[in-house]
Amino acid sequence: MNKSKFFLGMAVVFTAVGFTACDKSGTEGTEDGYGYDFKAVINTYVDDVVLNTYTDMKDKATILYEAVEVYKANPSVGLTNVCAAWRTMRIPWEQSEGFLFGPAALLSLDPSLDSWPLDKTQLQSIIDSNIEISLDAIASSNVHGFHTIEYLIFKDGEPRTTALTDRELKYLIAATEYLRNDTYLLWANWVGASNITDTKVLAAFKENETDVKYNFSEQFKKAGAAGSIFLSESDAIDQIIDGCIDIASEVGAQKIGGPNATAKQGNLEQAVLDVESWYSWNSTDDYANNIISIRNSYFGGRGKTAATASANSISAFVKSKNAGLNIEVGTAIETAYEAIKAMTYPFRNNLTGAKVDAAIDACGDLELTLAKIKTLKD
Amino acid sequence: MRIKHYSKYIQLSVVVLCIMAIGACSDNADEIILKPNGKVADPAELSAGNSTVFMSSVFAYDTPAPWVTGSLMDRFLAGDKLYDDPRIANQDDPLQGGLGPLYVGFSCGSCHKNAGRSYPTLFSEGGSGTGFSGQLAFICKQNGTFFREYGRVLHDQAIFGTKPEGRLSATYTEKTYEFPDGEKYSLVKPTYKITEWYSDSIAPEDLIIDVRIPLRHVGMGQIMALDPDELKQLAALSNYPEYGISGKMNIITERNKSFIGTGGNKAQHADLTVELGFSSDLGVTSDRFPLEVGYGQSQQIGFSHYGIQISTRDMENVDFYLSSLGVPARRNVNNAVVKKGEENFYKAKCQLCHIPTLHTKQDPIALLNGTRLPWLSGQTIHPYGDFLLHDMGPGLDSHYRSGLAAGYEWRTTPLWGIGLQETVSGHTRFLHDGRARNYVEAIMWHDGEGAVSRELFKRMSKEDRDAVVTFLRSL
Repeated sequence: MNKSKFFLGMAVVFTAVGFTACDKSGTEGTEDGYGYDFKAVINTYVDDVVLNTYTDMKDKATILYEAVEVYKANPSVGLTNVCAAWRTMRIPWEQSEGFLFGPAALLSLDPSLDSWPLDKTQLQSIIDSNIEISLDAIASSNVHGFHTIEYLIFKDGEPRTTALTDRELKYLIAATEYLRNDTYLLWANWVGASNITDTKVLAAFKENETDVKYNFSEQFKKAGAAGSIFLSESDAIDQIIDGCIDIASEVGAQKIGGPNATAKQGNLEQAVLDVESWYSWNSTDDYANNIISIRNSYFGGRGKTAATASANSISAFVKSKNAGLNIEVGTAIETAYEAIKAMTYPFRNNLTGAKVDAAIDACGDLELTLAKIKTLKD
Repeated sequence: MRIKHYSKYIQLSVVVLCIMAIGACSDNADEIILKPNGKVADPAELSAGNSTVFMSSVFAYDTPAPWVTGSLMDRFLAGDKLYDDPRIANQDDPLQGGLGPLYVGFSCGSCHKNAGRSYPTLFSEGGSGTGFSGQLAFICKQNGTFFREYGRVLHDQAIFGTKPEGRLSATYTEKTYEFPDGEKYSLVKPTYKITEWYSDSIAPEDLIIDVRIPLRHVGMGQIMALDPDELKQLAALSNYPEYGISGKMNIITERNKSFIGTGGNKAQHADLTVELGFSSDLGVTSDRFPLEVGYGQSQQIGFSHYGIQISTRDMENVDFYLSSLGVPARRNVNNAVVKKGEENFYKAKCQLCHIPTLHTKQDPIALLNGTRLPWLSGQTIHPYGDFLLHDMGPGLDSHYRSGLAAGYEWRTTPLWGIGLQETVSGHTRFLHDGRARNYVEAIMWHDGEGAVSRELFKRMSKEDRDAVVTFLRSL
C-alpha cells in the first residue's frame, strides 16, 4: 500500500488552542452546489453514457439468448458462439458498473445479474435432481446470472468442448432467458414504460407480466425539479461522481485487492475462488471495462477520452473550474486502465506481484482524484 | 456485482477541528467540523457529531464515518464484504458458505441494499413471490407462544431440497379520508395470510402474523452508544397527559443480564443482532447459535448441524461495519420552507417523542467480540427519536408481543436519514410493515399516543403540512 496516499485520504484532525467563542450567525447556508448549469451535462450523461450502454447490453442479451437457441437446436455446433456472445454482453455490463445506482440497485438487479460467488452446490443439486427446470425454479434458488451461465459454458478460459447434458442445457436455456429478462428490465426502468418500442422486449414483458416501475432517466433529467429524488443538479452530479468512486474502489480494493490479499496470506486455492469471472478468464477485461465506465461517465459519452471529451461533460465542468484537476482526473483514469491491462493474463494464475500492486494503487489514486471534484463546490 | 465502496484510500467526508477552549459553541462542544468543500458545518447539519458524513447520493447510508481510517478501514471493508456478499449453500466454503437450509435473505445486504430498505416483494408481488422476498414475518400463537414446527420467524426461502416454511401473502383494503381543507388522502390496511405451510397447517384464527420491512441502517452505532441514564430520564419525563403521551423503555434480559432495548421496531434488541441475523435470517451457524434455525424440523434431517459457519471474529467485523457507518448530514437546514416545517413539527408536538437531540455515553461501547469504540462516545446526536415504546393505537396493533412491548406499542422511529430513503432505496414506504406509502400517510397512521400530533398536523393548512414533509426530507 502506498502510505502517503493513505494518509492523504485520512480525515484531518487539527487541534487549535485559544478559541473562545463561535459566531453562529456566521454559519453558511447548506445548499452547497457547484455553481454550474448542469442541464446539458446531465442530459448527455443519461443519453450518451447510461442509455447507450444499457441499450447495447439489451441488444447483446438478445444475441446471447438467440445463440443459446441455436445451440439448443443443434448442439453439434458447439459453444463457441455462445461463449463469444457471453463475452460480448459482458462488455456493456462491466461498462455500466460506474452507475450501479437506480434500477440496478433499487430492483436488486445487480445481484440477480451478477451474483458472486456462484452457488455451485445448489446449481449441481438442481441439475442432478428431477425437478422441472424453469424460470420459477431458478428464481427460487437464486442461482442465475452471468456466472451461472459462465460456469456452464466455459472450461479453463475456453469454450467447453464436452457436450452439455440435457439438464445442463435446460438450465442454460432458463438462465439465459432469466439474464435476458433482467437486462430488459434494467434498460426499461431507465427509459420508462411509455418509451419502450423494442418488440422483443415488449413480447418478453407480456409473456412474464412484467411491470416497469421507474423512468430513472427522468429522475436525472429533472434533477432539482419536483418529482426528482435529486434535490438539485449538483446532487445528480454527486451521484455520478460517487458511482465512479464506488467502482474504482471495488475494482482496486475488492475485485483485484481481495484475491491478492488472500493469496498473500498463502491461501491460494481460496484466492482463486474469489476471482470473479475465472471460469472464462475474463476477469482483466471486466476490470478494464469498469474503468472505461468511469471514463465514459467523466468525458460524457461511450468511447470518449480526454481528447474527444464532450462539451457537455463533467470533464468540461472541471476544466472550467480547475484545468489542472481535469488533467489529473484524466491521467488517473488512463493510469488505472493501463495498469489493469498490464497485469499478467490470466489474473487467476497471477494474483500477486508488482503489476497487481500497481493496479491496486492506481485504482486507489483514481478514487482520491475523483473525490477532489467535490472540493469545487461553492 | 457491487460489493462495497470506499477503499482504504479514501476518506473525504469531513475535517474535524478540535477546539480546546472554554466557550466553543458547536453542538459537540469541542469540535468544529469542516465539510469537503472546506466550509464549517452548521451544527444543525451534524446528525451524529464526528460520525456525520456529507453525502446525499445512493451511498448516503453506506459510507464510513470520518474516523474510520487505517486498520479500522480494513475492518470496515471486511465487515462490509460479509454484510453484502451472498452466502451460498456450499457448506465447505469457509468465507461464504452456510446459507440455509432455511433462510430469509441471502446476505444482510439483500434486505438492506446500501444499508437501506430493499423494496420487498410484499409490495411488488403481494407477498413472498417467486424468489427472494425481502420482508420478515414474525408468527406466534394467539397466546404469544411459538409453534414448535416453525419458531419465531417464517422462513419463506430455502435452499434446494428443503421446503420453505410457508409463503406470505397480503391483501389491502383502502379507505379515503379528507383533511379539513378538502384535500384527500387514503390509508391502506393489510391483511396477512400464510399458505403452503411445509408441515402442519395453522388455522388463521390460531395465528398472529406481524410483518416487518427492513429498517434503515442509519446511526446503528450511535443507537448502541446512547446514554442509558439519559434514556431513563426520558422515560421518566415522557409523561404528557395533556397530549396522551407516556413512553416506556423495553427491557431486554439475555443471558441473565438486563439491558435497555433500543434496536428494532419494538426496541426489542440491545445489540445490533448480527449473530441473530446470521442465524435466523441467513441460516448461518455460529458459536452463539450453533444449531441450524430449522433444527428439529422433520425435513431438516441431514442439514441439522454442519458446525460453525461463521466465526465470532468475522461477525464482529460486521458489527464494526454497522457501528461505524456515517450518518448523513441534514441538508438545506437554512431553507425557509425547511425552517417553517421544523416549526410546524414542534407545533404538532412531534418532538415530544421524535426527540431531536440526544447524547451518547462516555464509556466506549463494546462490540460482540470485545472491541471498544471510543469514537462513538460523548457525542451530541440528532436522531429525532426517544427509543421508547408508545401505544400507537388499535390500527397499528399487530398483537405480537416483544418483551415488554405489547402489539400496539412501537418504538419511536428515529427519523435521521429518512429524507434520503427514496434516494437510497427508491421508495417511501414507512412504518413497520411499509403500509404507509408516503410521509403524510405515515403521519396519519399515528393514533393512540400519537393521535394529538396527528390531529394538530391534520388541522394545518396544506402549505404547512407540505412544509413538515419538506422538513422531514431534510433529515
